[in-house]
Amino acid sequence: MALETAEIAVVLLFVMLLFLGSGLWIALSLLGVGWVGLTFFTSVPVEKAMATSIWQTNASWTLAALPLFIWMGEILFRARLSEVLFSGLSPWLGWLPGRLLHVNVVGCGIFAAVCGSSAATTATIGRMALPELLSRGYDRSTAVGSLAGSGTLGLLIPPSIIIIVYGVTADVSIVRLFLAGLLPGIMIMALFMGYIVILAQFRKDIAPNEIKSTSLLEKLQLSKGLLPVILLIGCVIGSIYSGIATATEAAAGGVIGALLLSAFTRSLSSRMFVESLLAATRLSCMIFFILSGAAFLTTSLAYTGIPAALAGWVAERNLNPYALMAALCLFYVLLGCFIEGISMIVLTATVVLPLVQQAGFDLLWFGIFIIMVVETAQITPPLGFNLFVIQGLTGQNIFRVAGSTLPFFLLLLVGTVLITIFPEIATWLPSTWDNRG
Amino acid sequence: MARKSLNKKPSRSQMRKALDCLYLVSASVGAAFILGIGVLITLQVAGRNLGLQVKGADDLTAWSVVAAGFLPLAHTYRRNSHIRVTLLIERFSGNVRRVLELTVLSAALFFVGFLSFSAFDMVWDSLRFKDLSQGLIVIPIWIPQVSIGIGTLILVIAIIDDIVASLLGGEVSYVSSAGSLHEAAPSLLAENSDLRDPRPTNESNRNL
Repeated sequence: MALETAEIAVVLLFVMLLFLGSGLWIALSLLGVGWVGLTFFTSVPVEKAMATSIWQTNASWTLAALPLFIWMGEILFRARLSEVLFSGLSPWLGWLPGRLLHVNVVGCGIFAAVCGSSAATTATIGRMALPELLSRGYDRSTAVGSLAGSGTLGLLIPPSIIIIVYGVTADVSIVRLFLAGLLPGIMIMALFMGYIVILAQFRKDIAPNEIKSTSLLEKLQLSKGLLPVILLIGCVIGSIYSGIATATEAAAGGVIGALLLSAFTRSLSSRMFVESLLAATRLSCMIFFILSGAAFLTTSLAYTGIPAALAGWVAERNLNPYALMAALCLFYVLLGCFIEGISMIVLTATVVLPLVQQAGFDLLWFGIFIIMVVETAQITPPLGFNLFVIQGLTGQNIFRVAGSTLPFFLLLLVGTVLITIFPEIATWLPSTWDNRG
Repeated sequence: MARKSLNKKPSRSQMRKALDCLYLVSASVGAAFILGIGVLITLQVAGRNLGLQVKGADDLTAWSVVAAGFLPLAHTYRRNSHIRVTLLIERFSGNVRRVLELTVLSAALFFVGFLSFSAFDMVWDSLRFKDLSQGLIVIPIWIPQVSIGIGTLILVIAIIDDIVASLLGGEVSYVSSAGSLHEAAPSLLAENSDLRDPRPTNESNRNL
């Protein structure tokens, strides 16, 4: 009578695809598959398991970091930061071959750090930087590509929302994940900038020859607006690393810092306060709902025994761990064409995490790996998420945007390979933190 | 004059106002909980530095997270901030689309309804067995738990609201409230694409 685990898995996978494909909300698709699994394949009382699992996941002190960091991002998003970033960064980066193209990369890095969302980073920096670059005669394709690529940095540089979501889902310390993401984030920035520098050597036409030397004093004068932002990021990351604050506490501090900063730039008003809070409420509500659906699905699948069976199957096959990672990488990059990053991670975590653990990977390292893969997936040509944002900004055909972005897509893949071969890039910083005493 | 018979019931626009008010108020209470979390944690940190312990702040924070996550469900739904895959459904229009959306809405109604039922079942069990919270603050545990039930119940109402609207030939809230940009970047961009937001510099780049 009872179906084999493998058959149940196939049925549930089909149901999942049906729900997702039909346009049912992702949170409800997860909840629905969990419901189908428990109702038809186990004798567990569904109504008892559902609310309890959701209550246990959501009533969490750690999770409080999520709405706070989102709110911080919403405040800073409204604080006219992008203008400051462009004018503040350009005097410092103008000497590099490729000149202001680097503003895209570094600007995205800094903005991503405070706002934690990749589409928002792309849109905000792009809106500011693209018209500026194009009017000065920079190569359109390189400008668009560097913007699309760097926009994805939002996922990696702390305090990233997606890192918190992964940490909660995989039960890995958020502080350690933040630290683990820092170096890979900087590495990706370096890869992008290095590529632009090399490209500028071969193709003189990508950047115009504007020689404008400024004295150190002028430079400082121009970038004084930048200082509070850098200070805020430094404080958030620093307070976490030094152990003064937990991620949740740093988030509360970040909100206060963001409010002060927006008061400083005179963009703080009661209307802006309410709008940012309501926007943060909606975004965190959306994420909490998906997490809730996933929490119930995890419970449900555990009863059916599918994740354990799958992990056992992988262990039996003795798969090459690198082959497994390559397969996962391909899977996620394809998935990235249909679903955005957070849902991708939550959706697959239940099944993928036990499997990865079985193959002998550290879940901390895997978190950074998967986030880099998700980053890459955001610009998978020709359907990645950020590509559509850029298309909206420039009005260019999506295939042209994808073509401009391709080198940066490949660089992200290179980055992913690098952290797979040298996992220390991700794990070194958290290990120094563990040994702190 | 011809609609005299309707006068006994509250008119449709009154009903509309009441429902919209319900969605906004519950979202605002959710938002207040986020603000509360921020204040609580700040007080906790400040207290720690002054050598005072804020008793039970951890528990209060955890419960606030639940309330902040569930009370705004309906508002979030109507503003189209809950994400879904629209790749297939967007290929259809007219009556086919309407039928498809109604099917999706019916499934949503069933699952959210079940979740709400499950949540109130949990609350009822906690009441029946007089379960108390374990921690520094001892209160009946159903009090923080009930926010899941209330939030999902309001979402049930919002879904029925849309099903009725669609059956009467109107637009469903989440489709009419947003363009595609909203879905592409459910977070911050959404706010920016809101036409009521006076941001003159970005007018030309706004829509996808």
